[in-house]
Amino acid sequence: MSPRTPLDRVVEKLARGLARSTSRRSALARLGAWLVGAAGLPLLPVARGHAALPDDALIEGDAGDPTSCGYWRNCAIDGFLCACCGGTESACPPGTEMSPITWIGTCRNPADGNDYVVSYNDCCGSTLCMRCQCMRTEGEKPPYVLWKNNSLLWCFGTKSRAVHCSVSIVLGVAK
Amino acid sequence: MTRPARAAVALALGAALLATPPLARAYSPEVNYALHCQGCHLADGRATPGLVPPLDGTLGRMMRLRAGRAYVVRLPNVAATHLDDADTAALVTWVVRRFAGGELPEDFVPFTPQEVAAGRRAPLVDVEGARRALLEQLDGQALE
Repeated sequence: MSPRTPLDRVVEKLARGLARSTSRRSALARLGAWLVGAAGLPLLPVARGHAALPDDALIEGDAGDPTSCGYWRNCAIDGFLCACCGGTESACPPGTEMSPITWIGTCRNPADGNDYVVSYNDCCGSTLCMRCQCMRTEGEKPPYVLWKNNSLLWCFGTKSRAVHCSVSIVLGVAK
Repeated sequence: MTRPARAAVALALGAALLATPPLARAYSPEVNYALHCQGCHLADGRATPGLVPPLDGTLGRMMRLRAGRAYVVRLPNVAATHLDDADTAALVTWVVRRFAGGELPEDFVPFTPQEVAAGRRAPLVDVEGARRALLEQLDGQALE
């Protein structure tokens, strides 16, 4: 057996001290209390603002960079941002067709604290854009919940099934 | 309370809360339509014929039949939605009223959570067959 290093000795001393001063039961009790506290957090009353339907132009100015994966609207996008591919965050690049069939979720806008309903439409009819690839999954569900999954190719009802990029269109406040 | 008892109570409470599914945010039926239906049926219910059946012009007629009400709550995505029975009932009622146009029978009554719960237990497998049979029944009725 190799000789113990100073680090081993320090860790052992700490562990023995901890074992002497605490019991497993007290650890369980504390763990239980933490579980109760953490699970109870979402139940706390939170004032939810009641904003009017958003003005798209108004939202954009204060909420960050649409060409960034971290942009609030992109909270559940999987694909290439159309804002980097000749389009915008809500418009397809010229030469592509927006899929009418989409998956829809919510994202919180840090500028006003509201949750917004966001539609992720694929722009179809050209090869993959390959710029600004993002993969965010807030509220996204596994493929067996098809209508809430962002890994699917959502070019349905379009002339071409080839996906180019994706947009995040704000449909309204989620309330 | 002794320490072990306290630990047991804390653990039991923690486990019970963890076992409770996260509270779904209570949204209006309109927002729930956007989140759970609109992706395929589109905002105006026109959908994409051949790919997704349109809601407008069909739903109202279906409400004339008891079988039509049952069909709606047995649709796979209605039956499998993550909403609870009450929210689903409110959503389906909203959808019917929104897209029925002039076809909604005067005696239409809102869907109940119990009705949704019963439909969920028997989701449709052959959706197209059930839809065809229902529409044929409605067409037959119109000819009488």
